[in-house]
Amino acid sequence: MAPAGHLENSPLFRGVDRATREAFVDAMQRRTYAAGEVIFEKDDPGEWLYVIVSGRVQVYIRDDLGHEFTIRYLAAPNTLGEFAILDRKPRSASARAAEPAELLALHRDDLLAFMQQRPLVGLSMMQNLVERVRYTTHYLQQVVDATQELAAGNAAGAVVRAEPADPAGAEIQQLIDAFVRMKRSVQEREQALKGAGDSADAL
Amino acid sequence: MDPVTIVAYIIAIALPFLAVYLIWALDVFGTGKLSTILLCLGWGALGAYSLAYAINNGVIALGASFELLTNLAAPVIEEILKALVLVVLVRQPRFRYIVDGTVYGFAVGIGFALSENLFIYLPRSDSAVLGTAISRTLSTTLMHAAASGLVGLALGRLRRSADRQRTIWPALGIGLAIALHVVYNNMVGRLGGTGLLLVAIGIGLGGSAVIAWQIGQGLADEKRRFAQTLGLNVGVSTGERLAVQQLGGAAIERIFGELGDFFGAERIDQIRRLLVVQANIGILQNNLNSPASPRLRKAWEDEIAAYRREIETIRQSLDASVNLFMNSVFLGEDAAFQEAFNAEIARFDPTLVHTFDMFMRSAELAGTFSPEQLAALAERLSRIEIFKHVSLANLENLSRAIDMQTFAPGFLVFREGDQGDAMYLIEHGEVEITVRDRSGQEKLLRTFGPGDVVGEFSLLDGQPRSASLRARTQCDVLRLQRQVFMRFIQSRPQVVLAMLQYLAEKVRYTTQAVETSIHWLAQIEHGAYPVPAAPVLEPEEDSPVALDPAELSPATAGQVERAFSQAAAALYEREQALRRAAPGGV
Repeated sequence: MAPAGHLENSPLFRGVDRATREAFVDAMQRRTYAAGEVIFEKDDPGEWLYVIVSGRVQVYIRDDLGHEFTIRYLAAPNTLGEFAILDRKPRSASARAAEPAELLALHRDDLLAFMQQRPLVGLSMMQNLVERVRYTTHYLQQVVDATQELAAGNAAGAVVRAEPADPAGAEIQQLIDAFVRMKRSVQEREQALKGAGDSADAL
Repeated sequence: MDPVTIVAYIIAIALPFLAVYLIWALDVFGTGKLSTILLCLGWGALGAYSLAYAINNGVIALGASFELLTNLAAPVIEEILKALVLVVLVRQPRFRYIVDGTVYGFAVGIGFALSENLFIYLPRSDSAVLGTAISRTLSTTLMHAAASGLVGLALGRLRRSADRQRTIWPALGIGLAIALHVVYNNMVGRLGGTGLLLVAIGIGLGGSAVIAWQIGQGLADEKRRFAQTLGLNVGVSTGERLAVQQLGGAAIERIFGELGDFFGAERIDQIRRLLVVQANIGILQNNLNSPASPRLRKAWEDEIAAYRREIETIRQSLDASVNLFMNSVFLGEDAAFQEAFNAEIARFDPTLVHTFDMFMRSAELAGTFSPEQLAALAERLSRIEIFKHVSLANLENLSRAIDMQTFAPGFLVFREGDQGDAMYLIEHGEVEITVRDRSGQEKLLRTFGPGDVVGEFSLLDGQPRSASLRARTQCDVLRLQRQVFMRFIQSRPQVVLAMLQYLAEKVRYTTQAVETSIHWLAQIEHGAYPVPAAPVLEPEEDSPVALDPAELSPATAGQVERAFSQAAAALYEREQALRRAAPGGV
């Protein structure tokens, strides 16, 4: 897939037209990394956005004792640091190439310059983030409410209504899955305990 | 051959090629290619010259005197022959730019003069002094170039003009060319050396002046054409104007299409940017005519200066022909044309042009507040989270669009489910936020008072309101409409970036809250309730978590944590109770 195609699936650049995505890729630097080469370290200032073109990237943190924990592996068409480039917060984790990898990198200043020429990019990105914030908040609220309903003994009211066309993606799916597993497990435990009680009554 | 003749030959050959090189290097022609210029040169030197040679000899054979041929017949024959290739070239579909006609004419004339000098004058000038030989070579070249240049120009104007009398142009062009040629041929025999040189310079200067003047006229024609495209009243009937106006946004696309034809698709992006920047300079200059604080004025002046630098950079990368065209047609002082063009370009792509400022001016909203009030409003806006990354100057500019509203007690400002179309800053009084619960009962969520903000996320979102807003008392509020806000930010990437930064922070808070939630859900799933099972944090009974995008903060994860720990405690209690009820339960 061409890099411009990658951006199409990025949560930040969804909805940006193809010509603009291609111009965007032109504004980026192409970088290659050998296996094991560090892309950025935790707490580095987040000035760059990366688009993975090929290879796999390992995102990891170290605990206080220096043990490494892999958070996730990423491959094309994922992007790295798309929020850091916007809010300039330090990196929350480190990243390295897990195998030889090719990435496109964009500096924050180039993003601003690019937005000056093509303001629609910024507006599309804004739209994507607004939707993401709204949907995530919406689902968080539903999961919190449903968990509280369950705690109050109202299992029937403890539901999260998922909409198929939700732009918040994997994060929300993980949340909903965790809720569904939790609910099933709680109900099974309570059922088992009730069953035990019922059979005791029967005696 | 003596040295004088050799020098004259060198000049005769070098001069035409130098001229063609200059035309090519300076790129004064728009659509023409070097190959077209060489074709013209070739036609002049070979085609036109050899045909003229044959016909001229024929005229002598028919009995005309050599005098008559030189002074009258030859100029007519030669000018017509040279013009033939021009007629063909100017009729090509890709001929778009009148200056090109002139350049083609120059090339034909230079080519013709080259052959004339090499085959007629120089062989005859064996005995001439250097001055005469050089003057002759130079003046022949200038005369032929100027004469054919005039013809090319006239044909170009015929092609591009919409004028009803435009058919007169070719006749005028060829007539002038012949006249010039006749005058020259009549004088050249009687003059030598210095005199001839003066005539050459005179022809060169005169020809250049006429051509420059005509190019100006031709560009004015182009400007009229674009003005018509824009629907401006320039010698257009009402019907025609209406037809053009009905094309709407298509007008600017047609203009860009034509400019692309003139100068090539690869330059059109730069030209487009040039026009957009020019439009924004005009808009900002209009802004400067309305009262504004020194800070805002400085921001506008700085922006204008930045745009001027950008224009300078673009111009340096564009060729002379494009700059000449753009200067004459689009970047002039014609206010009505500029205004219409700016409006059109804004309609075409409002994200490039400061439409907010145009709107402020046309709606006469600018001036509602004094500069001091605007500065104070900007300070207030800057304390609202959504605006924390936006510069004070931008907020001051934005404040021009704020309007003041007064609500009577009990007035319903917006209803749950209404489109979120504005943000409200409460100045005086109190408002209440209510939602309907599942039974349809109206429930008070909270109240807001002076200094509070309602609906800031609506500026970006525009989704239906999640609650209703009602005035509790008499209220004065400042309102900022979403539509106006979007118009403001869309042409200001720095403000969009500030919004992205605000949103990215919000995304991080939600991510933290989602991670906290997933962690708690997994704990509960595995029955790993925290021990002691009582919530770690102080329970707040009957305070359900109400997540609002505008209020997401680093505290959100804690809020979510508290809700889950309460739920976990309750679930633990229920399971303990069931366990106790079971036989052998503890």
